[in-house]
Amino acid sequence: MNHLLLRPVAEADLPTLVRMAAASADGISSLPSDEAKLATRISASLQSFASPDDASGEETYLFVLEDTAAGRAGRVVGCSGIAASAGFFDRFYSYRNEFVVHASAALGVSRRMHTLHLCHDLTGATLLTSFYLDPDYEQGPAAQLLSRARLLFIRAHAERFSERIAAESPGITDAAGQSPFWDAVGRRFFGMDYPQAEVIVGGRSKAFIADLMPPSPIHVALLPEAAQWALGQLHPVGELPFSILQDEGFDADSYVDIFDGGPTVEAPLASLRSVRLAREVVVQGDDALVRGPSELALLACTERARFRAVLADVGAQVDAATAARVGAQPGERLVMTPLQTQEAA
Amino acid sequence: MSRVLTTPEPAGLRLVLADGRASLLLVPRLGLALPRYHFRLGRVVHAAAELDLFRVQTTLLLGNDHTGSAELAELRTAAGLSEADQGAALSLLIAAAQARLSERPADFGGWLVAELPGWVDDAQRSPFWQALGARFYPADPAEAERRFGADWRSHLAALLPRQTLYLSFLGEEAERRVLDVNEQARPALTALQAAGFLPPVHARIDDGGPVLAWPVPSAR
Repeated sequence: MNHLLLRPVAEADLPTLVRMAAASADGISSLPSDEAKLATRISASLQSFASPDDASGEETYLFVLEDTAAGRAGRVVGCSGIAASAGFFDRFYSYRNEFVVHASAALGVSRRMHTLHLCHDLTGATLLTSFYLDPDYEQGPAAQLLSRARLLFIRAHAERFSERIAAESPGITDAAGQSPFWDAVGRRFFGMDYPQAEVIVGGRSKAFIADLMPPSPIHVALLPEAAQWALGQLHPVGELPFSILQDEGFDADSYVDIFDGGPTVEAPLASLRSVRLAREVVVQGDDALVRGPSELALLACTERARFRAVLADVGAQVDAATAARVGAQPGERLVMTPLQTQEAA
Repeated sequence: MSRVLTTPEPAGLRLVLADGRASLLLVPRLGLALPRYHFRLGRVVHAAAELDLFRVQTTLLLGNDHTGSAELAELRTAAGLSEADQGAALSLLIAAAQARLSERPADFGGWLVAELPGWVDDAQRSPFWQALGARFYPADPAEAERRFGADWRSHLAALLPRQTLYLSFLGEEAERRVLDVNEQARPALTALQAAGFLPPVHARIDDGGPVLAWPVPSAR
């Protein structure tokens, strides 16, 4: 566990990102499976971390998880990202779940009907993106570090981000890559398969695509059963990152993706567990003074250009050796948040 | 040619052929007490030149467009008539109603409309109902119609979506059968078309049957 290091992506990580993008299922990862596009993502991230200017909202940040254990030679085993403002260049579309009671006193019927409203609610929210972790590391706390360190970064640089955080999760598809929700909704307006649409849509903004979708609410009762069932269902590859977000306190019931019906979670930053329980700790030069109870935690040096996060035992203070793992010196202030996903009673 | 007998009733004028072959009720203005609902069929184009997409969609919008129009209701023919005889008998009554409207336009709405029952299969199942109404009203529509008569559709409207619906969501069979009539109503459809009623742009909200309309000449 003490061998994992989360850091901003570097140019040298390109070959690794290419490998990870290829390993993640088609149309599921938010990593483009194209080397030139990945190189662009890396340089955009380098620029975002380096820029001292006020945030414009177009920034994207990419982090990688490195295994620093002896013999692994700094192997990169995962990545995760942040987009400062969803739909920055355009609108960000979601379907919002709404329930309307249709009632007739004369007929003695009153029913709560589920509808999907095309909306821009999440435009401007900060998006957690690009989560990928090598399957070898899925058991254990690596995923926690990879996902939640982003929240410590956002917390430390709140002026660069929205107070509202959201994350998309891939919706369910069958073995052939077909999405029942797409078949019932998107296909009627695009006249093509989901995988085909993914290719055509490519990196285009969803706003452009959404012009093709009906502006009026969709009545879920009118959809075929398979599509009704698929609504809000996760693709299995999304289960691990989704469960972490659920434990953080994200709301998963309000929004779904307009294409595959996968859940889009959202929450105010301040309500998230990692943020609520985060506290500052000072690096103590004299190890003898580091005493008292400690707990397993995410520990981060949150300074923008040298952001680092690790998993460590942390008490009221941090010893120099632990601090060195995030590149910090005695006297500096770091931020920790408990690893434990259950809150103490 | 048979004479048309006209009898005033609370709801309108009952027109009956003296030989009993057909009758109908001429309602001066519909939907002024209990609102009447129909689906208006529309067309929406979703186009994206960059994707080379141009998709034409038919839409359904629940509304009260025909409020205040005159109506030919309760079109009935005697049992045992051939389709041609049914059509001929109804044509006489329709012509009598149209004459009445032309003579006394102030007493009636500016349009004369007629709702016809929608298409059903051999098992009396309406694909339009199965695809739409049945998803919102979980009981037997025939039972409700026996209980409330034609008013049943006004109650049903309270359960249906108010916003624009895309016909393609209802599936191919419902899409194909909307505005199609029940076989038994085919003579009436033919008679109405021959009398100058326009191609339907409204459908009944339960079974998707056509609503035909004729603009009263003097009212234009």
